[in-house]
Amino acid sequence: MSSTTLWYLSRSSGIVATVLAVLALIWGLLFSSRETGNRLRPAWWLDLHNWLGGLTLAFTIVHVITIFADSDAAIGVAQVFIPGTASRSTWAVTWGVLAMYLFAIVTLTSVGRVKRKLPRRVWHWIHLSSVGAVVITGLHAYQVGTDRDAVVFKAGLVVFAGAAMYPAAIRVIGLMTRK
Amino acid sequence: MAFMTSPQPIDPLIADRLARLQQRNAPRTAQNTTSVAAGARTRTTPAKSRRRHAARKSRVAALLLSCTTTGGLTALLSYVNHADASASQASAPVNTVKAIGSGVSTTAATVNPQVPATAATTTGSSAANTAGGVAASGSTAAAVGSASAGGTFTGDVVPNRYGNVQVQISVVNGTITASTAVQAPTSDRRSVSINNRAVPSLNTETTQAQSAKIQAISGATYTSNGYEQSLQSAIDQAVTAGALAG
Ligand code: HEM
Repeated sequence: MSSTTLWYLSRSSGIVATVLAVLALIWGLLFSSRETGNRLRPAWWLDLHNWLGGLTLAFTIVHVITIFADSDAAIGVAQVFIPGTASRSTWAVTWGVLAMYLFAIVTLTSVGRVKRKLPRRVWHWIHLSSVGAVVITGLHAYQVGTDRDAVVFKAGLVVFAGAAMYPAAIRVIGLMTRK
Repeated sequence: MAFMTSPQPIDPLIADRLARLQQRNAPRTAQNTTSVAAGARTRTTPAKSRRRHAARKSRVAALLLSCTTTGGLTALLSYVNHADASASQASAPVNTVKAIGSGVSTTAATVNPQVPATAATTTGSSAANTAGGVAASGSTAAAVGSASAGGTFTGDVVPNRYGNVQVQISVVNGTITASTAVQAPTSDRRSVSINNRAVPSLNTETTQAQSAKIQAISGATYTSNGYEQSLQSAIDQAVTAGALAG
């Protein structure tokens, strides 16, 4: 596969991973605030939320592998795993590395067997870190992406951030009024 | 106290559910009993307890949609990149050159990537005058300067499949004090991205090495090779003019 094709693939998989992460977040927030309506069972929302989370990690892996394989990207093993080691766009790539770790931890701790071993509170805090992961993913994409100057790309970021705000607000208001 | 020992009347609905639960668990219980009875050497295949996914169809849809979107976006990005490249190649031969790595943007003559290097003409070299001796670009690269004062020397235009590379050096008292790419491939976003990274490094390497013996930047082979060739021709001019020692 040519270096240019890898470059296109890394960008598209990065964009898809970001969209999936936002969707997983929205599904999770709607589920936990019990705003899932009557048409579909809560189990459906939870199942799809889990699946979207898993897909986010899968597409992140594709993104990272293609970036790594693209010789022109100057991203090696150290740059993938150690934050702050990229020679170019150091901070921007660091956000990506941190987001990758957070997505991996959140997904792996949600696997039934692991989840059962963790105290509920600990699991919940770990799971909440996915909100931070989505935010730094947006930052990463905006700072390092080739497409960051494209109007469609910027509009997409704004639309997805806005879409996530609605369930987030419902969840927060729900928590505040529960007492 | 007979009422305490007699079984409670069970709701028929619950009784039905209990019966179904027992039925469902029956094969598993039977299997456990037989495997224990048969000993450790007998291999038993446990009943496959496949968990039903509540959103099975939506899962498949999400997976297919994600893969299709990735493929579609890849194709779209490739199309956009090629469209960018065609548009920039069709542009007029005289335009604005960004002197990469120096942060200076000068209006000077550039060479259409389609035009062979030898056919390049030097036009609109207003920058040459205003910059106080900056040579006009083009394949017939000019040198401005003298042996004593040094000067600015612009190397040959070196074309490659992505565009042209042309280097300009400043010489003061027999030392290369600055090196800049007055042209580097900008035909598409990828080239711009690669060269933004590679050219500053090549500029620094040149002033450190004080020669054209510089290391190629990994991932920017075409630009590095073109840079080295153009740099060598600029140095040759400086040597001919007596600004640099041979
Ligand atoms: C080790 C972790 C990561 C590394 C080293 C990394 C590296 C990179 C690099 C070098 C680029 C620039 C590609 C280019 O446009 O030329 C990029 C872009 C991008 N990355 Fe990452 N990334 C990582 C993790 C992530 C994660 C976890 C996500 C999302 C879930 C993500 C989403 C994106 C997006 C959306 C872009 C912009 C693509 C575009 O502009 O077309 N990245 N990443």
